[in-house]
Amino acid sequence: MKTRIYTLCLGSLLALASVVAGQSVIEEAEYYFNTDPGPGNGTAIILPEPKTTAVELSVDVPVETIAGLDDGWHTLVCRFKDDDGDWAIAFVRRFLKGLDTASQPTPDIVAAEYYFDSDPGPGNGTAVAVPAETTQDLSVEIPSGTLDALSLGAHKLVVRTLDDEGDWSVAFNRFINRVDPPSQSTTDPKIARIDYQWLMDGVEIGDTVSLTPDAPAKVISFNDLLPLDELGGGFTAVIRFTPFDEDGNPGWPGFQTVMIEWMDTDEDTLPDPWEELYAEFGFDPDVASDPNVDSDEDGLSDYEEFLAGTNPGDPDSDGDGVTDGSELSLVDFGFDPAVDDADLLVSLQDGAFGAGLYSTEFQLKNLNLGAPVIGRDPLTGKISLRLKIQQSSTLESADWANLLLEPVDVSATEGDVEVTIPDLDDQNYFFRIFTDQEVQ
Amino acid sequence: MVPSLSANIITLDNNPGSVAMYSNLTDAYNAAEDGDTILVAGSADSYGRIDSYKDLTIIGPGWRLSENNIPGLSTVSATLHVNFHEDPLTGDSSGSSCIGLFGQFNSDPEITDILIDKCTTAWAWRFKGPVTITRCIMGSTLTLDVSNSSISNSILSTVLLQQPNISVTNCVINISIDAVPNTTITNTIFRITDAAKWDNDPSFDYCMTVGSSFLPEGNGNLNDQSQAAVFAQTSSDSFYQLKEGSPAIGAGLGGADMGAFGGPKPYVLAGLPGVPRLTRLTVPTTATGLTALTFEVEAEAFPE
Repeated sequence: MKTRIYTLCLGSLLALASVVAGQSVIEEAEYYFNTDPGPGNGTAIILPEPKTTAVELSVDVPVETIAGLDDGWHTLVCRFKDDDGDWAIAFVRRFLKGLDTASQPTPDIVAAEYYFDSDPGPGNGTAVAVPAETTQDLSVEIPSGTLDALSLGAHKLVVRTLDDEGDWSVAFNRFINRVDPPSQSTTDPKIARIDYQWLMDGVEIGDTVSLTPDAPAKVISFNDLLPLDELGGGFTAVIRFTPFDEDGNPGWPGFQTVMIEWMDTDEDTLPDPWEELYAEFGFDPDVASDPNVDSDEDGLSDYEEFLAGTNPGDPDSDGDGVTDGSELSLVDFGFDPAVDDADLLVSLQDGAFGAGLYSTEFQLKNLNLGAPVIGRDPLTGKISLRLKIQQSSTLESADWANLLLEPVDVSATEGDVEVTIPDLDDQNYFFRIFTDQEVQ
Repeated sequence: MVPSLSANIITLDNNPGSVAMYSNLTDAYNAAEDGDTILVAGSADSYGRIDSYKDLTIIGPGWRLSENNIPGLSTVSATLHVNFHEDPLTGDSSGSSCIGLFGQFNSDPEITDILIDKCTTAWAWRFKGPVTITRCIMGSTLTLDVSNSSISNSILSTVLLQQPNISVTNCVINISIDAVPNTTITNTIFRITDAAKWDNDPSFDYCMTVGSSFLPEGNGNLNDQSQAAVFAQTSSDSFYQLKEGSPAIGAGLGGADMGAFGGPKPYVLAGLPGVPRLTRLTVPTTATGLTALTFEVEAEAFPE
């Protein structure tokens, strides 16, 4: 006959046992701690009367018995004997006898620390002040300077505490998101100025001008007049406005394309300031002139002189020896009626008596024959002038080519000598003239 | 933090008649050096894509400007795409920032410290290097295949957080979330109604669900709130502003508001960057020389 224990717990001691066959009854019960004193030698448990086949016990273990145990793990054993004298297999349960909290109170937290991301080792984090004997939650304010040192984004904040027995707690960690807090400068930014700048063909013209309020403000505005007297007129330009904040940071530029027109009081197509500038030649902004007149007879009308920026009273405005009209027809070769192009003429005249310009209108200009070679035909007595004339469509040295010309009979010539050059095509050419050494 | 604009400023504008320094993104990128800022004007035409090996700040004008009635000369956004790369010989785009742009952004694993601020997109973003995403609104998928990153004050659609140690703070998530453990989600409102699109692995603190009850109990979480009671119910990104009396007001960690408009650095309507802006410019198209030109101009400063 075997006795089976169903449950046992320690609080008080609670035991449940039954005899499973033959209707025997539980006769004895006992318990002991740790070392088996032998069946029947444990601490007896008083069973209720009458004896029964099943028993459920609640046993109070004396406080002094528990107190006599050392702190730490122990074994409690409980067993029963039936009326046949058979002892049951002992039921064993381990339990932990805790510290006597009355004499050994919970340790105090004496230190705390935190760190971000990488563990510097216990005791090496940033210390947190802990009030004496506290067991309450701590509220810690991390200095802004510490947070500022963190990069933007996710970081791991780790906190741990130390008790007065020198034990560090398990670390508590939490991920935080480092963001840049709004500052005064970011929550209340101000505009310090608006710059404007004129541009023509993408190139800045004139100086950049700043429109500055009395004091920086969130919104600044101007309603003003832009002086244009330095810009002249007759062209399309772009004006660009750029706002700047107090830190000098620019914003997106805004722009507007503006057609700058001339003022022409007498509506003769010659602008007022131009007529005022050349008043000595009879121009008057209040009196209409004929713009098609070529006042200085340089091949350009007065209106063309205005467009070219040349002097309507001077046929060679730049003084380089080529008339304004001729230079305007030679812009492809680098001539400019408003710029002294004497250097180009040096190349043109190199080694020659003179040089000239030929066009379909047959002009020879700056022709300086100097001391031409003149020969006499011993048979006829006629006097001949032998010249070598070269032409070029560029000023490149390799491009000069001789023109085939017959000697000119100058026996009865007075004044200028005219040389007939074969008609070429509808282009401009350069010419230079030499004495023909072979005929001397 | 918007970097200081103390380095070189390069203006980029592909609108006809522009007076910007460059009209082509590639040209502007080639001219830029590490630390420079490219100011990109709004345009109906995309600026295209660059593979960046430089530490640059690229700033656009924002977006949905007309929807939010934002004053300014242009109501169109600037569209461009940036792939952040690193190469020992070519350069390193780590540290770059993109602000106020409509575009697509991706990064390589070697890239660190990328900031995407006040941006929006119609394309998916994927980051393999640490990134900070803040004050953005996305209608497509955001994938972070990287640790040590953060997402804050953003309105997101589909979120895939494939590595631990990512913080999500003060966001709104509309479609789905899939995250690994050790992801911290705080002060965030979820509009996800399909349980199959909900991943319960992260830790949720002071979060809210609208129209569903997926959040674990405790930690300040609020389940199954009424959308009509939470949001302002207006159009565009202003929809996500909290309604007066919303249960999300003051319900976040430390008494902050939940959602994208809460916390120390709230979402900014239309993604307006902290850059000075001309808000009015009136100049005649013709003028007579030697006299004067009447004009009106107004500029306004905006916070970062």
